[in-house]
Amino acid sequence: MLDDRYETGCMMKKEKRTEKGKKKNFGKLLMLVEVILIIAALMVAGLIYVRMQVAAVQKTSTQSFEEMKRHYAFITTSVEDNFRNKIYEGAKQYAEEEGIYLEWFGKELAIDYSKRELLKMAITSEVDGIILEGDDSEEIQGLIDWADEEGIPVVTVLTDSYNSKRKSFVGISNHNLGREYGRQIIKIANKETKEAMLLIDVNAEDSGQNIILNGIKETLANEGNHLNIEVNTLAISADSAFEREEAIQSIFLNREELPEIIICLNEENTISVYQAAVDYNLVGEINILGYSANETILNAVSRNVIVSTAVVDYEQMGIYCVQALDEYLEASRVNDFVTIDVSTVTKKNVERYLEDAGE
Amino acid sequence: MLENKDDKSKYPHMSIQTKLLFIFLIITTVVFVVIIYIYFNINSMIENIDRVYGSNAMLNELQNELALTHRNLERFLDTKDTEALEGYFRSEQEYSKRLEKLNKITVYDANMMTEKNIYNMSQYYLKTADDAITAKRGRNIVRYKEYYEDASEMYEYINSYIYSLNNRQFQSNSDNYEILFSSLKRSETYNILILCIVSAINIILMILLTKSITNPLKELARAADEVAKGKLDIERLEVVSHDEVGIVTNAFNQMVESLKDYIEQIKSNMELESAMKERQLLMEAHLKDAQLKYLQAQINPHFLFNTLNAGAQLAMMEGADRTYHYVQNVADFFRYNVKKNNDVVTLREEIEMVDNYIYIINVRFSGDIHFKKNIDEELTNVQVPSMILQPIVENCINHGVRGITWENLIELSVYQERNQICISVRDNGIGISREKIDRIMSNKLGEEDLQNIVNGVGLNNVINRLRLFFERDDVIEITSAGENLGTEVAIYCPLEE
Repeated sequence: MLDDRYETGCMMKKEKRTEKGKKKNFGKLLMLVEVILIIAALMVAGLIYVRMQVAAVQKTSTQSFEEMKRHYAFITTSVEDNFRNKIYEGAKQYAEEEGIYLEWFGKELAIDYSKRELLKMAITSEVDGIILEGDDSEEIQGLIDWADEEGIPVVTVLTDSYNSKRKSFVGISNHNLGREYGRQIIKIANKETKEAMLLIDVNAEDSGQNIILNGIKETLANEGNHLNIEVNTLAISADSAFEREEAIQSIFLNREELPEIIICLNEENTISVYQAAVDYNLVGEINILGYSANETILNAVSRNVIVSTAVVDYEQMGIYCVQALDEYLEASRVNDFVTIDVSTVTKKNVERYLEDAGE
Repeated sequence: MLENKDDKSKYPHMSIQTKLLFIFLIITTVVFVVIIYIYFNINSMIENIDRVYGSNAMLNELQNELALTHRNLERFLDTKDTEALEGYFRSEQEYSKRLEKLNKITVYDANMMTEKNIYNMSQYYLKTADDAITAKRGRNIVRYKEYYEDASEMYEYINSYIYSLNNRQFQSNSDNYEILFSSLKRSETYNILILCIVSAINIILMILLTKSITNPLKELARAADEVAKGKLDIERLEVVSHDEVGIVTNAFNQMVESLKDYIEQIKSNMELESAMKERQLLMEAHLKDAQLKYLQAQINPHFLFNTLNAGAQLAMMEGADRTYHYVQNVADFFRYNVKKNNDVVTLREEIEMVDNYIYIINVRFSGDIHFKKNIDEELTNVQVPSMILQPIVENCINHGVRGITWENLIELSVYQERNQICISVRDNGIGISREKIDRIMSNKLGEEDLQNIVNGVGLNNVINRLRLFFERDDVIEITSAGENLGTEVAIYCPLEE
């Protein structure tokens, strides 16, 4: 009896021990399985990563592109100016929204081609429309007419080719610009003020500058007849690199004949005149009416060195160009002239423009 | 056997060879699949890299073909050479064929649009060139010169376009190549990593699976080693798998079990044997003790009973019958002692011995002792150790009835009680106390008790021999009803079949 009990006790112990052993074994097995699973997961992740790399490689080699509605060419005299860039950016952004591909001809080419050459390229490339910085030369007019024959509408921008078969001209209202300058002169001038000098560009071949001058004169005659002011023009040549700068410096050299007011019609002249005024210590004695609004000019306005500057929304100009082409292609007719108004920046509202320029 | 069957149903039978084959198959398959996968990935990457500069090559060929076309045009216009014309047509065709590969639709991509421009300008160029040739053939000198100049201009533009496109594409292709190459390098690193991981998994799998084979073997080896060292009480080994090792483990378990049983059996046999030997030795020792006591008491019994015999014959010759009987009885008594001193005797012989003794005592004490026998003669053939009854009767006379005032009586009865024979010696003497009985039964008689022993053979000796002979403790019983109420000594011996 006793022996029996002892034996059963022993057996129970044994069972317990084996059970413990089994539990231990099971735990070990579970851990091992986990380790294997983790390693396997790592492996699978690695394989997937490699597969993704392969897929990415395939993607770079076989790209697909969004198809566009039309192809417009953008051709300018120069491909580097800030304001032309603005026109292009404005036009391009709008064109993209409309499903149109706008190409700045000559921008991507290794050689600097002339406007004529670029225009020929655009025509032979069979683009759907051309935005062209026009001029009065016959060569360009001929090419515009050829484009028209080929069924490619041409819209001129900034400067017109008035006698050609261009469909529309998008530009600044020079008459309005002249009147604006006139008003600014009236604000500055008093009875002692003798002379206002308009710097005109010799190379500009259009009549835009004359219209500005006319606008100034007309305004002075109508609204400023109490003044004894004389508006003179000075032709500045920009043929060679430093000619313009020299010409402007020469104005300041002869102090006796220095005009009280200087009116500039482009960005470069504005900056040069402003710089000369600072250099010759004539700030306060000379009133500068500038053009365009880069950071330097705006800072000068805020410091009162430049009285005011005329600002054109070039981006809007670009948009109008694309819209004009669209309108012609869709409706077969478009306004002959599309004009952009000019705003004036003075010390009062310069902050807003500085903020925009800073952005 | 039943357990084994159960085990078998739990673990499917699989030989070690099959298991190893299974392990190697799994490992090889995993490695093979991974390597194939990696191989295909790398292959497709390399193919893509090969294609990277394809567009540059295409543009170069296009440019070459255009140059050839223009050269042929110039040559023809210069010399009107028919061979040049044929060359022109050939290269023109080739050039047109290559042009067809270029993009012709408007899409949002600068390079694709340049392709479109090249395509359209080329069409214009080819048309102008054709016109120039036609004019040349028609000898229209002014026209062909105009056409040629136009075509030359266009040739220059196209070249310029192809050049800039080629440049840009080379740049972007270089970038792509850089990306592809670095991703290929990365992939290589990953592939090596993956192979390492696979190897690690395989090693773990290998260790796991081979362990399932070797572990029971190790366990078995350890157990065998222990058994070899003589440690038999090891745990039964668990049969994990039913391969060859499982079978060996089962056999080993059975072997250990039977080994244990066998040793157990031998042990108990030896114990039994030694116990028996011990008993025999004790018996012999007691007998020798009894004999020694007799020999001490009766220095030369042969001489004594021969002398007594001579006395008996003398008494007979003188006609003294009673003396003769007496001497004859004494002689018989001593002869019995000498003769039956080392062996087992029948109960009858023991009773005769008691008769002799009583006769002698009665002669000595002039017939004082009243002796009565109630004997079942059928039971007197039972074997008993020698010299057991006489000491008991002597004890009754010496300690029971000596000196009592009433008439004494000693009664010897032999009868059957249930399945044993009871040999009872009863007196009507002074009785015996309980403590004294206990002392006698547990062999703890004091020195003073032992001094009274007559004839040297004490009750102790009798009890011990009886116990040894019948191999049980309750062979003798001493009872007394109380003081002066007599004593009974009863011997119980088993009835022989």
